[in-house]
Amino acid sequence: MHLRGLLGALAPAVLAGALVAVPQAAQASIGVGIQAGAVRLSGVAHPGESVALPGVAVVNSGTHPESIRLSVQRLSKGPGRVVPASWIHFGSPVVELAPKHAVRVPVELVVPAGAKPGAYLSDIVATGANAEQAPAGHASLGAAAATLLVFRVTPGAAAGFWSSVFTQTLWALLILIALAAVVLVVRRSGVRVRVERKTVGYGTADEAGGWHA
Amino acid sequence: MRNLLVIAGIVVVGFLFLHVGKLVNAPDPPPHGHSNSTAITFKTMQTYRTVTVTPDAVDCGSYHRGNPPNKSNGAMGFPNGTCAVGDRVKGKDPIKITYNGIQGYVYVHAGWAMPNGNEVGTPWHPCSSNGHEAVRCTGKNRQPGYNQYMVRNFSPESPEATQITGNNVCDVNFRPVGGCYASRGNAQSEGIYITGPSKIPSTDTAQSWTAWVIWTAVPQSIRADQKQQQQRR
Repeated sequence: MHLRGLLGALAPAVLAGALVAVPQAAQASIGVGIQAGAVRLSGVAHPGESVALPGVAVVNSGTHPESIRLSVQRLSKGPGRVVPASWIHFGSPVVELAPKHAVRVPVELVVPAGAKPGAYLSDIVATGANAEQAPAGHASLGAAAATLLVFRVTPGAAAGFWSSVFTQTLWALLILIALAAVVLVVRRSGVRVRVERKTVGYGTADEAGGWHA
Repeated sequence: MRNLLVIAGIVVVGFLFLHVGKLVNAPDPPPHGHSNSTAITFKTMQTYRTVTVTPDAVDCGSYHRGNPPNKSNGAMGFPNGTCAVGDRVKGKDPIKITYNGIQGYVYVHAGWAMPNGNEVGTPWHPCSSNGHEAVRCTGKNRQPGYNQYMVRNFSPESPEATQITGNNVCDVNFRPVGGCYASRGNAQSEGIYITGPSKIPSTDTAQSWTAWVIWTAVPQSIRADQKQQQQRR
């Protein structure tokens, strides 16, 4: 009796739940995610230099395979110059991702020779837009996610260049010193030999074994 | 001369000593003599900031406005015909936007409306007549003009529909109190009103169009990001 009453009470709730849940489960969603942490250059970049930035992780949080496009835009507020989109090269500007799958895309910063020094701030934006053709009278909805892109440009040539110049100069100096030492040794030993030959050629020995010029 | 050789020798030997010494130096002993340590390595998963929109496409219905014979209940009329996704007055908001990840904002923008398939038509550009006038509406009474269209979104909590432009800006309807601020799991139901152009080129024959609305999960400002990093340390 109690069981029948319980079933009678639960049945409408279960039916209502099923009616609500089935259309929800059937609905397609579009979802895009990007790494929460900023893409940040640990050191500094110099005009005319190309630097590999940490890769950016992108995820498809929707229910269908998605074509996700990467771009650079300024959305976030904060100090710093806007990063020109042409400075950032993605390993793959468009990635195809299955639902709930993620990928890390390499990012390269190419700073032109005439770049102004200072802090730069923009966002890397991953945009997923329903690529399937929408039926007539539809509005297509898209999802996107952004993460900060932060780096600093300082004037002057790249640090690697100067360090290589310094190393090369040091080696050249050492080689010169070594050469100079060799030359000096050779010269000194050569002078002695000549002196000895002169002595042998023009001198005569006396009875006591001494030498006379 | 001999002195010069001695100096050169010292320079070379000193150089070699410094560089080779770096390679053969033993690591510093532990600070407390006999203590030992074990390095523990582990992995952490990548954290993401996501926005999910359900469904991914919606019907724009309830067609209104236009002048006969360019007026219909089944298609957008001219000039400035309208259609709707949901109904603000009746509380119908069929689009669900869900934010996940660390705190941030939800921005929104509209794309061009494009003719479907192989149909011939010039894209319509989103325009606005108040707020962020990225592209000003050029029609009568601040309505969309030639090849322009207007998108407005609303949520149950918003007092009125808000114009969306081609510029990515804060979706004030996502959280009417507190702007578009979002934290983990925040969701909002929204609807859309679309108003068509005053007129289109006579050569356009397209009768099927797709408008785009895109929501974006945006990080907090750089100052807030730095503050969070300092707190983590």
